[in-house]
Amino acid sequence: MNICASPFRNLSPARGLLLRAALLAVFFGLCEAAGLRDYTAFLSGTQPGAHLPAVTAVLGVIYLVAYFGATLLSPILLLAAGFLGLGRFLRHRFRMQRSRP
Amino acid sequence: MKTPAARPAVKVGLSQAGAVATALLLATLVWLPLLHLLFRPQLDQFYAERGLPSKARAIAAHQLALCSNTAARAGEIATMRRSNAEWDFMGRTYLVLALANMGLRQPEDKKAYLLIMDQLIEETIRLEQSHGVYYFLMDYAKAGIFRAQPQRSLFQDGEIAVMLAARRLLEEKPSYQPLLTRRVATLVAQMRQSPVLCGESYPDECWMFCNVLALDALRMADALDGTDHAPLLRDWVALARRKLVDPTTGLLVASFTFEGQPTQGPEGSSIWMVAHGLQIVDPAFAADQYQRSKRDLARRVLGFGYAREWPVSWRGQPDVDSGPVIPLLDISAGSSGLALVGASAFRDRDYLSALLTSLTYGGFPILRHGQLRYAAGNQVGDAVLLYAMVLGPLWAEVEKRGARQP
Repeated sequence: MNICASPFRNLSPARGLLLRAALLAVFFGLCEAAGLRDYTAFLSGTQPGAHLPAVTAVLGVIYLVAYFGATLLSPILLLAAGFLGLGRFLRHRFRMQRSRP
Repeated sequence: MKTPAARPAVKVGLSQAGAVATALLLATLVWLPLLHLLFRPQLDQFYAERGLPSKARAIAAHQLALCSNTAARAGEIATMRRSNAEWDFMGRTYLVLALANMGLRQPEDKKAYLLIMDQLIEETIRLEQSHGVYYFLMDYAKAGIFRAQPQRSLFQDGEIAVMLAARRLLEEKPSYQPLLTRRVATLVAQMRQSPVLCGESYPDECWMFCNVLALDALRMADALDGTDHAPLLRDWVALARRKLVDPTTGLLVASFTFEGQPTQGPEGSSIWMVAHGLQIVDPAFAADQYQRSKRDLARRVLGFGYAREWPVSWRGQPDVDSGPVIPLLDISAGSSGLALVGASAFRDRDYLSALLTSLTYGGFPILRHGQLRYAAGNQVGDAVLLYAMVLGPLWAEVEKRGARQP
């Protein structure tokens, strides 16, 4: 078994994008549920709780990655999946029209 | 060499990759200009000519809860002091100023606000007296000697005077009258020793922000006690226009020596508040500084408003005032936060709305049990935001009490 094989390999490109968008949203949801939003305080140079500054910064960066993934990347992936689906649909219709006698 | 059978598969793969890349590009072009619409708040939640906007009420609820919870407040203060002792001090000033404005907006809640204001003012004065002049300053203050004598920081005297005056403008407290009079006398004595009529915040380091707040304290004292500092205010503005303005932008510089030699150019973390502070000193000069700040520092990208820390013509080093500066766009958290004060003070609804959109997106608001705070900031950041949302009535009260224009 190839453990490095992409889990998206057997999916159509549009479904691959949808799955990635969903994973980003789930990752963000987990970070939010874990309360990592508090750790964005590192942006202002303050540290919430009793953690070391490095731990605060790492948790804050993880949250930022998840947040921007969910608000920037995930909608782009969703839209791109929609565009691919639309393109496929239009191509299919075009071929059907051309194949009619 | 590829086999003939492999060619169609490669061709299909390339065509799919091209289609995916095109779809991603299109999606990016569609999504990025739309993103701000998700985060653009209703302006009336943050800004109102009368009454308290709902978000201000929620931020105030958090700030007041902190004030009544000794352990939580001590933790918040310790957190800020680890980074910068000034934040502890300025958090108090901005909260007192915000509460004074809130009391003028909502007289029925005045009593509760006065209690907190007194608690903050008295604690601040007690800490200053027991720990000395350096308690609310950064450590490097101990490395030099103040040029003006006696050794005092205009940063502390000015803001304590502003707090005392704000409290008295909301409701007179006789025991604060001599305290304010003494602070005002100290401010004037310190400022008069400098060739540019500016007091030091740190040894041989004068800050425009602190000096304008000191001028506000004089103006508020005039309104309260019938004193007349108008000639000093007039001389100060004339000197500042001549010696403390950056020749390229026309903006007031952020810091300078006791002799009036600029050490930093204009800075966003200073100028927005300076323009607001000047509104009760010289309204025309204040409006001029706001317009110039807007031209040189205010920016908008894809519907998100922000402020640069420095104009294009001058570049300083990021510090505790500027906060982290995001390269390329030069987005400064400190400047953008204080730009909210400027935009609100000058009723610049369009820029205010764009700034609030950025705040809602990148400030990471946390609303729990009706209390709002911004996770990316701290107590002083929230106090500045609260002040930006409620400012206005206090300056109007100063004008109303018939204080003279310089």
